[in-house]
Amino acid sequence: MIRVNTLKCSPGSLVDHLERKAVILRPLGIRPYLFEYPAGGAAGSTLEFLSGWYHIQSLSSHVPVWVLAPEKNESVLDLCASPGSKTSLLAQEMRNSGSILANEKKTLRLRALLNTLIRLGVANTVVSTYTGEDFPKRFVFDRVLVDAPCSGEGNVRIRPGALLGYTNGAGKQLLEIQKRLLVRGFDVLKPGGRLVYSTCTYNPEENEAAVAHLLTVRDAVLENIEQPLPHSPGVTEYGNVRYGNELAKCVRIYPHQVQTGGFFIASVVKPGNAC
Amino acid sequence: MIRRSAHIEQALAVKVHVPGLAVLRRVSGYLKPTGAILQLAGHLVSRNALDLSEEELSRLLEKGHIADESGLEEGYVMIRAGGVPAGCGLILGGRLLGRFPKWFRAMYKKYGVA
Repeated sequence: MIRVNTLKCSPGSLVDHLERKAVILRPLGIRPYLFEYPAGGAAGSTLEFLSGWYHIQSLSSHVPVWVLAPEKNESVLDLCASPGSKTSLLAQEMRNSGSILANEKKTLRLRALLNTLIRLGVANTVVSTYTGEDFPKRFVFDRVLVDAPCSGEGNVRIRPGALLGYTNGAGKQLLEIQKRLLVRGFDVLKPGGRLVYSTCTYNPEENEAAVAHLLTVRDAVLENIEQPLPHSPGVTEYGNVRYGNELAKCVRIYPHQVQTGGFFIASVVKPGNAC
Repeated sequence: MIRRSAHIEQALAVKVHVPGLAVLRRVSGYLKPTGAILQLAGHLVSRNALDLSEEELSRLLEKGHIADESGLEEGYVMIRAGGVPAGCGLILGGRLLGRFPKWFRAMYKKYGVA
């Protein structure tokens, strides 16, 4: 699946260009910029891709940005930004206006983030390298995206090798980081602002557990989510742990419901009015 | 270059690794436009733009230079291929020299772009 980069061209222009090369794009009908690239074709082997006219991105990974719904001229923090697919979609939705702070603490992942932003012509983004859990609280944002590092179970469908390094209990180790990222992301959100927490894993110990922790330690309000893909609700309990009925407001996207990778999304708002 | 906004002061007050998109680079005392800005704003360029076929672009990326028959003045030019703004070139001494970033050349070669 490809996303037309409307910062550089219109969907119609890309469709025409590729049609001249006998590549026929099929619109997905979910957003005007989403198309299915023909099976067997090498989507990354065109000049149009190299020049940033489109990006290859899974359908489910668009959802956190759609739910965050950034508006033009707002300030947005992408706390764990690499490799930049969601950051560039944020910029596209904001039409390169406002300000995005794309944070990535791992220097090895910075190059991937920068390459994506440069290739796609993202001009409203500043890249920083703070440890996300310690992001300075003196900065505040209209919207915050915490697309947290996770065990990646939702990617097993396309990368079965992802299971090779899996250990039972790995989720619990990640949970501590995820909880700290989520709380810090909430702390730098303006009153009235929205934060979206997302992972590409199914493990409730990394998903609902993190969100339940936030609701316990902060005055965060979990929102119902409207998004276009078939999905299941968040789980309210797992094993012997009860997360609470509120967690059913979260969204779980499964590949048996829609042809894409798995994802978990939660949306919270900070009470109060933006000044 | 970074887009002006009401939040620009906050954005630049953080410990910045990279602020926005590079527009120009200083090369041997000259200012060279980056491929990034040419790709983003290439549709606005009306002068010093060169249209190549994708085959010519391929030869340019492979060899680093091709003969120039454009009649344009020496200096930096925007290169379009098949109507797609691709990047920056330099016309010098009857040749068109490619001035594409390493990542672009590497991806072009690696993925056998057509």
